[in-house]
Amino acid sequence: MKLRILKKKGENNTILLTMIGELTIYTVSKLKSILLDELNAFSGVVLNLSGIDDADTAGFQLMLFMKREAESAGKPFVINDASARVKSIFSLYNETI
Amino acid sequence: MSLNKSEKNFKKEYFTESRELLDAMEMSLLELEKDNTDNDSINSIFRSVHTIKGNSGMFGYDRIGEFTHILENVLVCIRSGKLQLTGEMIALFLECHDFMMNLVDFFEDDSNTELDDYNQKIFSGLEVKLNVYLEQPACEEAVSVNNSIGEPGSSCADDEMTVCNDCWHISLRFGENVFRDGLDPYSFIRYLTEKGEIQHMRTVCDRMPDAASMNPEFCYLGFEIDFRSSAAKKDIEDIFEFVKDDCEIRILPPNTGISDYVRLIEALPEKPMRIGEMLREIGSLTPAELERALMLQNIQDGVSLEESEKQFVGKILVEEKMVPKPVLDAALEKQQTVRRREETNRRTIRVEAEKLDKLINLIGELVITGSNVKQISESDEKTGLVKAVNDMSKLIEEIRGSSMGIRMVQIGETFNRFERVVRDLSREKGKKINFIIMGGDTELDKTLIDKLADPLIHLIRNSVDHGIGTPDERTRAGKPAAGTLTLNAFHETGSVVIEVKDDGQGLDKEKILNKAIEQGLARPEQAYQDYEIHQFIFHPGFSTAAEVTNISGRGVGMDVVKKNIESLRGNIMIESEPGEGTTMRIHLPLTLAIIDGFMVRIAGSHYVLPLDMVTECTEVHRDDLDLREGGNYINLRGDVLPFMKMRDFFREKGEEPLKHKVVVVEHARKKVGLIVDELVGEFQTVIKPLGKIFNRLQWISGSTILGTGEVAYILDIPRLIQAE
Repeated sequence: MKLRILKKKGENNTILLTMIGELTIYTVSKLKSILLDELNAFSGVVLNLSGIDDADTAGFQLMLFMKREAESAGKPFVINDASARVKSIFSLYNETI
Repeated sequence: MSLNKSEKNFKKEYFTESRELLDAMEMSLLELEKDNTDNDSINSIFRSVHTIKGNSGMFGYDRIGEFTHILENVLVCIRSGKLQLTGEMIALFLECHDFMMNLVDFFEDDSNTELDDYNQKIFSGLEVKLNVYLEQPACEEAVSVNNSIGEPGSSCADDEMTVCNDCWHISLRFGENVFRDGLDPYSFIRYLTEKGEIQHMRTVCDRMPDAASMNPEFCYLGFEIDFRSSAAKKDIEDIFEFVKDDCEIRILPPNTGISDYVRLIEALPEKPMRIGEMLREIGSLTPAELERALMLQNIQDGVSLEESEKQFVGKILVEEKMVPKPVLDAALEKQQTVRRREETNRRTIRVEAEKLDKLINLIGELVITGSNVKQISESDEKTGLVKAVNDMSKLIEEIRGSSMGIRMVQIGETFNRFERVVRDLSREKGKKINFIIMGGDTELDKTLIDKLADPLIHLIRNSVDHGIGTPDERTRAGKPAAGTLTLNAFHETGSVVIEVKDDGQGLDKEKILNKAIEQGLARPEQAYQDYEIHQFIFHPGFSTAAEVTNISGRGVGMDVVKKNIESLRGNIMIESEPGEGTTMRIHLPLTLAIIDGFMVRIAGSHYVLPLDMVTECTEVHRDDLDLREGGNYINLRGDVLPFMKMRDFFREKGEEPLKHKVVVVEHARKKVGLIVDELVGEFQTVIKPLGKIFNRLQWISGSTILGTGEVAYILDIPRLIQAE
């Protein structure tokens, strides 16, 4: 798997996940379960995507999915930083998280 | 006023565009003059005026805006049929056009921010004249409607069943397997932005199942896109060609019927309200249109809106009304889009002439260097090199051809401008003239065209003023009362020919000759050929007109015309039959900078002739030339061909070759054989002007540098032929 995740506990029982590598069709399956677990375990998830050098629409979709799940659980799900590649996808699709 | 660069550029564009619009307006006005019921022309005039008004507002030229607004109001009345378009009005509009042209010129000078007295006077004068029409009751009403709408030029019909949105609506639902097939919607939508502009877009992920069954490798996405583009539907479809089996694609054209949206709402998997809301959000439908669509859809379904949904629509409408978009903004935006669309429709890029000149210059250098390399390679033993160089030469030739092509402009636009000149002049002189333009699609170097306008106007004025008589005079001479003035352009042996032809009384040879004798230009005892007599009118200060009119007769002009045309390496000829008419024929080279040359050797020097003018090459024995009696003529397949011995002409000494080569050149329908020592061959060349010191060299129009570093002269064939 071409994705590394660094975990760090933040304030108010949130978790900061710094992801480095790919956010693509190749990594989304694994990532889905990881992110869901983290969302269950903590009261909020903050993502740092500045280290994502490759991303595609599958990755984008997963982010939308997580946002929906977090909203229905009433927990914050935030991306605090993103690489240019990630930003270009989000801006093309006219979405923000 | 200090401006930064981009602002300056914008303003420059504003002025250029305004002039173009005014030109279009003038054309349409002249059309209207012929047929005052032509709705297309009225609409086109309206569009021009309306766009200028909008632009002037944006750039802060309020006076232009103010003026165009009044004019626009009058046009509104005409368009709505409240006012009858009369010849007087057209004349007034033409005046307004001229004034607007003046205003554009006036404000382009950066220092002017307010009108000077002179222009202010014209402004008020025209305003009064325009207001006369506006004060008619029928018209007042139409104008007030116009002003309240604020956007009268809207292309969107008032039809209830049409959606007022000039964007495409694209609705995409990707199939589950898209990701796994290695396709990424991102790349398609990204590509879409190259074909136009995504105005708004919504991601639709309603299909995404709950967390347990959601498979992140499946695609659950869809998109609703409001897309502004001049592309055809086919082009948009083609973007999604690769993914079409894996994606539901629905494309609605701009300004389509509401029923199309109804079908779309029904076809999409999501709930109608949800889709409707999205359509409204991205601006594809206005709230009112949405309501209509949903109503329609429900009527079709046979159910009425649920109470909650009704409220929802109401809420949308209230929201929208609470934040009314400023009308001005909307109008401005609309204008910009119209303009953008028009610009893409034309599929042209505006490039600064200077940049183009630079490119042409560089290519000129490249052509020279290329020929050098070719010559050097031919003396080299490596055969591979020769082939490579040959290929390169071919490419260079193509580059040259297409870059010269860039400069080529159809002459029609310039011709059309003269229509106004003829109209105004003939009215002033009380003459009736049909102005006919032919060959408007003939292409000519832009620089040439620009420099040609003045001489042509002069010739046209001459024809109108002197050539064509008044209806009375013409009827007495047994001709139709209306004269015909023809402007014709066509290609002929490497040159462009432009004719100004009238069916007037022709040149009065006797009068010209007498005048010439009087002025000491001609000797009374000598017999002159017709064309020689015609040439007299090109002398500075020569005029036979008994009265000096404000257009012609002052004897300034024809000499300037001739000089101008000669400075373009062209020449002018006159054909005239008394009582039949006069034709002024201008021959011009196709282009100024680069020519296909034909190189010859005369004694020790090389000379280049423009290849287009060379019609054939042949050989004669020295004896055939020397033994000939009775002048310099040879027999070319039964035709008499005058020849020039170039050795004698350039006073070259030294041993002559036994057999001479004859290059037959043709210009302005005259053929001459040039006797040279050797034919070297075709040679592409850039004309380098000779320095000022050589200004008085008559037979040479420029020089070029050979691969050997030697200089070759370019022979001025038109001059040579004239001299002969």
